[in-house]
Amino acid sequence: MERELENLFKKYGRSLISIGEGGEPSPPYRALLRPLRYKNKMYLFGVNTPIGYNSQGHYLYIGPPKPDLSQKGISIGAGGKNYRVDRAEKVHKGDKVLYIWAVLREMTA
Amino acid sequence: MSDISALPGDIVLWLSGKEELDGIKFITEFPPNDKAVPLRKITVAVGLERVDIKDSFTENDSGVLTFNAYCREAKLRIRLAIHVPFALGGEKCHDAFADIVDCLTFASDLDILHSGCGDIRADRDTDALVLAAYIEIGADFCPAASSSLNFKSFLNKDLLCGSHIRDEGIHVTPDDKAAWNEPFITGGYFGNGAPSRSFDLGFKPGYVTIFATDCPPYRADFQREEIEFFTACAAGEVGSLGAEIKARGFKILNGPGQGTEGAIPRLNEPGISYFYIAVK
Repeated sequence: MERELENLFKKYGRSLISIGEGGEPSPPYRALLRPLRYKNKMYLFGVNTPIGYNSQGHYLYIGPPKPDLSQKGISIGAGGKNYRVDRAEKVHKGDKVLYIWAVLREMTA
Repeated sequence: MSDISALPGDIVLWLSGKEELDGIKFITEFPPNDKAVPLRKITVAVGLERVDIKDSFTENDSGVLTFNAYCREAKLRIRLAIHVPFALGGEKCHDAFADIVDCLTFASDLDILHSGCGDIRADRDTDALVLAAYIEIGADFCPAASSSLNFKSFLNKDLLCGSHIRDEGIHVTPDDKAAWNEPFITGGYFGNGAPSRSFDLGFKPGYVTIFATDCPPYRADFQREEIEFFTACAAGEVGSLGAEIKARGFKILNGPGQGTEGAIPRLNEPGISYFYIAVK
């Protein structure tokens, strides 16, 4: 199953890099990155807050066990954009990590 | 009302320039750009919460309150939404609030009447701990500059008396006041023999008269059939021999070359002192 997932990431995944807390980038790797669909239109237009517009755009990430997105301070770069990890979980098969599930959010300056 | 609407922006600008508040970013509330994701710096949104304007009265010597027709008193409540990243903790909210209020109270000339804050709440839309705070400012609309140098544009009397000020028939301008306080000026000079001299008074006089001190107004030389004039006057666009009104003062003439038909202006003769009176 690990092999199947690896092939799936290679075939359908997007080229990403992970950026550690200190700013060090990883070699490129592939993982699935999809916009999160909402069941209602609550967040479609984002939210205007007193400190600026918050697009509320989140992305579903499914990727290989490495890099470990559950580490503190890690972020993802793809296509000139950076994504913050809002939540990350390791999905195990037995005691082995099968893949990483995460919800990402686009970073703005 | 541009002065009131500009106030939050002015406060943002002023607070942003304070070294002691370097770690805090100030913005006017609901800016037309994206919020920082993730929020890394303490960010304070400044807005106008409430404006109260009331009549102004002054107590005279008898203790009677008299109404100031063209003055008003105002209370302005400025909203400060202090956003602190979750990672910094709630204590930073209070630190930021105290620093901002200290700065506004002690480093500006604003009349801070009250300041305060509510409780801290965690806000998912901004990824921040938010402390709602306020400062209440007292402002006197009369005289015009009611605040410190730090807020030059803050609340001048154009705000409330605009229609009066725009009516040139009833409004007294600073130039009017200056003319009333000093309706004419006087001065003197020593003649240097030049055929003409100009004097810059800084304004266009309505009337000017020049005369030589310790000299008769004119002197007749019957042998040469000449009359020398040691005095002259001018008003508006006309003047007697030897005096002209200019845009910023007046001009005098001297010598035979400046005269006509035996009349010679002597308004700049060496060794003679002259005196002038210029009416505004």
